[in-house]
Amino acid sequence: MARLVLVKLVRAVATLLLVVTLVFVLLRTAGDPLLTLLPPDTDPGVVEVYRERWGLDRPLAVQYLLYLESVVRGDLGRSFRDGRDALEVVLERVPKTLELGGAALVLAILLGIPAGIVAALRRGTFIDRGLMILSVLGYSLPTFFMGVLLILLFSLTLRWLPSSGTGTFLHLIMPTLTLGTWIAASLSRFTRAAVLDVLEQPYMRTSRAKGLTRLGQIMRHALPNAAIPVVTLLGFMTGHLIAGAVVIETVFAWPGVGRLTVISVAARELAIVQAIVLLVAVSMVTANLAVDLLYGWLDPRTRNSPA
Amino acid sequence: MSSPSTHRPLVEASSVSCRFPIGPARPFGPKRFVHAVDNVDLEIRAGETLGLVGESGSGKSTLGRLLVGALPVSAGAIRFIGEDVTHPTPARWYALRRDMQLVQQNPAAALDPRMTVADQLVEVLDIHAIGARRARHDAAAAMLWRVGLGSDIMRRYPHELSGGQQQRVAIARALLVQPRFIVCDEPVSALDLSVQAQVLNLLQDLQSELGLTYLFVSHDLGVIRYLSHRIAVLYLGRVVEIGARHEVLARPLHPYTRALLASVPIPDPARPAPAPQILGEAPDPASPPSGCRFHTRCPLATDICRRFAPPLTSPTAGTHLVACHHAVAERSIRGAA
Repeated sequence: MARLVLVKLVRAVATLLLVVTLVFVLLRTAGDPLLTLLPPDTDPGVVEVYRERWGLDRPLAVQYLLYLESVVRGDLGRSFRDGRDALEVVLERVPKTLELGGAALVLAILLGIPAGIVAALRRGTFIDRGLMILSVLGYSLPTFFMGVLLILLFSLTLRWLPSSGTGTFLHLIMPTLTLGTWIAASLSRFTRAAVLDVLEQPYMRTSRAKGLTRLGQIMRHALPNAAIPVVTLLGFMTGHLIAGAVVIETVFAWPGVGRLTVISVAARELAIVQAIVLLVAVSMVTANLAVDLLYGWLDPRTRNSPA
Repeated sequence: MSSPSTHRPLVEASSVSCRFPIGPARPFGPKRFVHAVDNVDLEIRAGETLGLVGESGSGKSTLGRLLVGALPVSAGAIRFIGEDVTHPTPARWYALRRDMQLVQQNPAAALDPRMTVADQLVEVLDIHAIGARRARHDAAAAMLWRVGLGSDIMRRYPHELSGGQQQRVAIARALLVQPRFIVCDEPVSALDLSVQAQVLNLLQDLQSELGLTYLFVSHDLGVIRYLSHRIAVLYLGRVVEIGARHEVLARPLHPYTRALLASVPIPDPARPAPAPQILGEAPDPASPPSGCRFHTRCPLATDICRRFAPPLTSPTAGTHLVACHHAVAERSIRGAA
């Protein structure tokens, strides 16, 4: 087990190194950073001074190593606009994004997993069909449309909820509803498929032969086994949340990472975009690692496999 | 069937049918059903092994599951030691698990992949509150020992066992409740040939030690021949022939049984491969042929076969029963030739 964790860790670090390198290559191929940073009418002498100061006159390999070193130190450059540390700018947005993402994920789990289980257990019935139609609807309605509909209903017509911004629990409701139902829709389909798959396994017949009731069968054998793929999906979803829900944060003016991404891309804040990319990469890799380790716990079959 | 037997059969099926709904042939068409088991009469006597043989799709596994209450019966009745157990109350159904058990085909899939061997075995004892709680682990180990496994595998997961070990665990699992009747549904067909014999011998030993009664479902005549006291042949959900092993094997009365026996390959390259005696593929169980279900593939089929289903009767007034209009006639033809 310890060896397995070590292998996964090494793999995770290697993935991160790859992402960091990719970011470096992309930034260098995007053109001379000085020309994008400095005003177009800057004196060529001044450009050269800056080139030397920022080490851009050194060989590419040296620049790469220096860049790696600064990334490891957590120095991802500064915002052009106010000179603040890019990582700091991004990190102060993270709590808001996690607040929304976490609330939405909890809502999605509470809605989607029971719906998927019930649909699977009542396969082919009216209940199953109804739930799956809802799921298709929830998944295919674009979030910006759903968001705007909610704003129309609850903010403009009923005047119950604030249409945008953050601060109180009331602000959280509509963005959570929009993001949560969207995640719940795919989660319920996935859960249904996972449960159906398990129900057809011979060990379910065995558990019946043991004398377990239907409920006992489901609780002891069906759900723990169906949880394996569902937990995997949830892990990836969690890793994804840090990137923020770009569209939803924009619709509800939610001050999270997603909205920061939109603003920074528009303002060509390279350092901040780079920090966001790295942050997302780290969280995805971490989520992957967590899922892998969780998998070992959930599914004994993967414990001593060489992969 | 003729004279009231002195010892009651352990398990009795009378006119048992089981049908599954399948999709309509065309959209919005009438609902269709597959009669996986159709009007089957069967008796299994205490202490015997009844071999149930048939090709895939014949309904042999379905019949086995019906007899242990793992599937609901659509029509007919099942009796266990005289008691009607066709539609037991939940409490009675639960109690009956201690009398009748099931050993399935694919042992790797028949065990919960997330539970250790110990957990799966102890679970059975927990469900039925057998023995003191603390003694259950030891009881499980004792049962493993009985099926030829060391207690060192208690902490293992199913995927860490060989196929033979998995099936032994599955057998131990079934035996823990001390059942009287076990349906063995192709218990060795997923195993290596060398392991098959070991598991078959184990089942045989357990039978004589514990006085078990088996319904042994298999498509493999070699396995059936090895283990059965009596043999029943199933074709498209109906019993076409049933009798003592030596009768059915040495003097098969039904053309389908004869074809099955003739198709068993003989490991002798000098002998020519047997000529195929059954014509074509098995018909679609959703729309079985009229009359005798075998008539579409039978070399002896005549008009009566297409019209009327032959009853299961004995041409010799003995215990060897056959459902064929030509069973008697065929004998005389063979005698003349």
